[in-house]
Amino acid sequence: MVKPEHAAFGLSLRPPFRPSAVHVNRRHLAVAALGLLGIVGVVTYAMRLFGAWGDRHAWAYPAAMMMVLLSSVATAPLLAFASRATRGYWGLPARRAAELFIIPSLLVYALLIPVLATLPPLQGRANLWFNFGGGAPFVPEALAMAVFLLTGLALLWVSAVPDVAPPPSELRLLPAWKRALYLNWSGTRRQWQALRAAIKVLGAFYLMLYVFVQMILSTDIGQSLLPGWRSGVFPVYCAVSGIQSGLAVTVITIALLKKYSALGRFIGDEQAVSIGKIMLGTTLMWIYNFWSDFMLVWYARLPGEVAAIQVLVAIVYKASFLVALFGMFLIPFVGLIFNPVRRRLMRLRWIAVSILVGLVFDRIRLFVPSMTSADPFGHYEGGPLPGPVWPNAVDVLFILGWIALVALAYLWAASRVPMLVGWEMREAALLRREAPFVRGHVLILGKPD
Amino acid sequence: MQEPITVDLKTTNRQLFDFVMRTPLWFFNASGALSLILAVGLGIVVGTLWVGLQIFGYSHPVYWAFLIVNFVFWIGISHAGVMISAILRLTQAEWRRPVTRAAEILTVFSLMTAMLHPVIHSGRAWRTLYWAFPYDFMRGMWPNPRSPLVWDPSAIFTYLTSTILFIYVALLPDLAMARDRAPDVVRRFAYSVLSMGFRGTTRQWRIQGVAGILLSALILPIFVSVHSIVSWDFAVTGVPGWHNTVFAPYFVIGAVHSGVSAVVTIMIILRYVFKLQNFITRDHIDALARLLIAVATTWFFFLMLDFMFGLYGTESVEVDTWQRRLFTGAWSTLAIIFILCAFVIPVPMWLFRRVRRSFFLMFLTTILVNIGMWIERFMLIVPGLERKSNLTFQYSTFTPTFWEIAIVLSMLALPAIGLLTFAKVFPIMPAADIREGQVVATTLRIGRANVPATMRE
Repeated sequence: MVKPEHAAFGLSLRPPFRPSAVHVNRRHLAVAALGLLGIVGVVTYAMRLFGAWGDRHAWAYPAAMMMVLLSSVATAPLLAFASRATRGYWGLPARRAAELFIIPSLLVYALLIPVLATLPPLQGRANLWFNFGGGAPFVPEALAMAVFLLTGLALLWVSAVPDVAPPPSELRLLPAWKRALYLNWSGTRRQWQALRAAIKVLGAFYLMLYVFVQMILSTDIGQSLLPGWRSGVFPVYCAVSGIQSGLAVTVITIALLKKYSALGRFIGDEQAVSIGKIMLGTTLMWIYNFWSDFMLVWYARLPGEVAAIQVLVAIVYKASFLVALFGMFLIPFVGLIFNPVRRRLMRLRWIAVSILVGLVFDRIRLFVPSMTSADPFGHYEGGPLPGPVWPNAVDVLFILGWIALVALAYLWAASRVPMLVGWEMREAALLRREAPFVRGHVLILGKPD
Repeated sequence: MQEPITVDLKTTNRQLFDFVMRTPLWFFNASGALSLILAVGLGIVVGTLWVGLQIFGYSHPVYWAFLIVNFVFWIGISHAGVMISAILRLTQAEWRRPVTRAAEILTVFSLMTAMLHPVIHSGRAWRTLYWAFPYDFMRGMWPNPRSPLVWDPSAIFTYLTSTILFIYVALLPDLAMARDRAPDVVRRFAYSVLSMGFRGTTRQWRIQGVAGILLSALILPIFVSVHSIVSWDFAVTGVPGWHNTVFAPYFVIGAVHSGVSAVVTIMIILRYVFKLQNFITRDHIDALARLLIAVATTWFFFLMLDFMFGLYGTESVEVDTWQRRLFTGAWSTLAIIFILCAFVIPVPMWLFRRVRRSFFLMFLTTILVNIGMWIERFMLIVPGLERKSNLTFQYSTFTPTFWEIAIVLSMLALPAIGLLTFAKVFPIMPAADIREGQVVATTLRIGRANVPATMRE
């Protein structure tokens, strides 16, 4: 069996290496099951859309689902950005797999509009818009999300052009709009420079927009609706736990790719080692952000803040919180501090599954109580705590259906764009060599400026 | 890196150990001048013990001012060492090698400087003993574990201890090299004891390497916890503008911003003072500047979060405090200076490669950052206190006195003396680490280009 690094070395000897897109067999049982569930997701969505437009309670679980998607599939492309920004070879085979999640992220928009339509007016409740006008929060949020997703699409397309563009001889024969779509790609030195610069800039913008979108959404459909809840660190908590989950999604994807795809021969444990370290870092950041919030409320004992913590953590949604705590912190932390877990992709994927399960419960405990809050206006003035709102059958079908829709959208994307960044893999193969050193061998890594 | 170290291993040894083995005249002049400045500061401190804190500009309800600002500032600077050293070591960043030691030493001496301030601020220094340490069991008086007076010493001492251990482990091979080059018996004996029999066997290198990695990983949570605890000194109180859950990460990232900037300043000074042009190159400053762009932008985001969530609840005292900070009298001028110095001027400049690779401009911009960050701490602490009381007739303002300003300025001399003294006794750059970097640096021939490369196991 050829080691993944050596499989990659081989690319430098094959000048026209162009990875192919994944073939999806529609008759495959798993794909058929996903299709069926996807239909359920669309039907339940339509039921809400036409039967409960503007009803905040009915959209509570879809809102939580939207935040799950924003915090997992929409953050996966950040791994590609991080790996490129640090010029890390470790991320190479995972970059495109991560970037392709832009396509299922577009589904978030379908949830965003009806969720925004349920929000009450800003007057009389705490908010971040401070008489901004301009249709806040609806227009700026819809706009910010659109720009965020378009930036992601642009990032995916720019990075994919060298892999999908036809050779210059064929490109000349295409209509003008198609040539423009392929950025007139012929691989000149100038085009390569522009492409690299564009990837860097788009990646940085994507990160900044992600943080911004998380900040406004987590506030407007989260703490702004629950009187007494005021936490400056909450947007950071959402953003960081999103990055943790984005890594988890990518780990599961490349683990599946390794197991079921021919491209899996390029994926090794080198990816697991590095992604595992970042996962451990984000896991620690999760508890740090949570503790920064919780500790201050616990110490200061302001009635409104205490009530919010009782709802979100200690009493009303205690069960959800405990699943989130185990899924997003305890299990990953205990697992990831051990090298045997962190250094094997097939073990790391179980940690990733735990994180994603934790994420679903975490977003439920955070956003369902806000969306179902009886009176989002004014300041907290005491009184009994609200009861928990657990999902009904339609909610459960909705969640399962939308998970299936995400998987189907990803498979569709993978059948159009190769799941491996061929040009970067080939470049990296040229920049990595093995050489004898004293009595052993070392890896020589080139780092061009 | 595009500029590999070009000198051979022998010259590396000679240049890095030159100051340790010989004492130039300027060393006495510089340490004498710094000692004089420090003596002035200590004289004022002794004066406060004699006459009390009345010589400072405190007036009810503002009893936390320059000394506490300086405490937070120096704690912030101390975050540079671990940020640079531990994180870059864990990520195997090659450019870290000449930077780490100075950053770690800066941590130790700035922590020591920081620790002095709450003690001076207490007015009766000896009393801090029974606020912080359970020293008198017979009286049944125990420190209150829910008080920041207990949290801070616990966190800072843990950080100081682990940093010293961290430095010591990294220093072992250099101590052994110093032992082998010591010109007299006394120094040879001292270095022999300190190097704990390090002979450079394979086993010793392996253990030293593993210990370094483990300590890097262990020290990171400590580094984060220290400034978080310092932030909670403020955030757990009900003072307007202070009670914000974002304070802990905001303080940590602010500390990293000022700390990394201080490391750049120190590196540029060391380069000229110790003639380390062969080791501290434009690439190192460039890499640090890139890091600073990311850190400064993150810090700015947290600043915005602090601002927005200050106004978020539309509580009148919070809004009033922010209005006071940003739009009232001298505060508005300070706010403009702070934001210009800490973000608006340096960050856009760092986006240009020419600025990132200019020692002069980097020196200037990183100094600006620290001026801005000092003002930031001042603006965080004092305006809120001035409106701490509910009743308007209890409002007050703070005006610093000459003595406070003198203490703040003279305290700059303490880490400087510490760094200078350390550099006299131990190599200020990790010689073994730099030599390793020279060995693993290589080039790859690709087509007609030579690409800088590094060897990895």
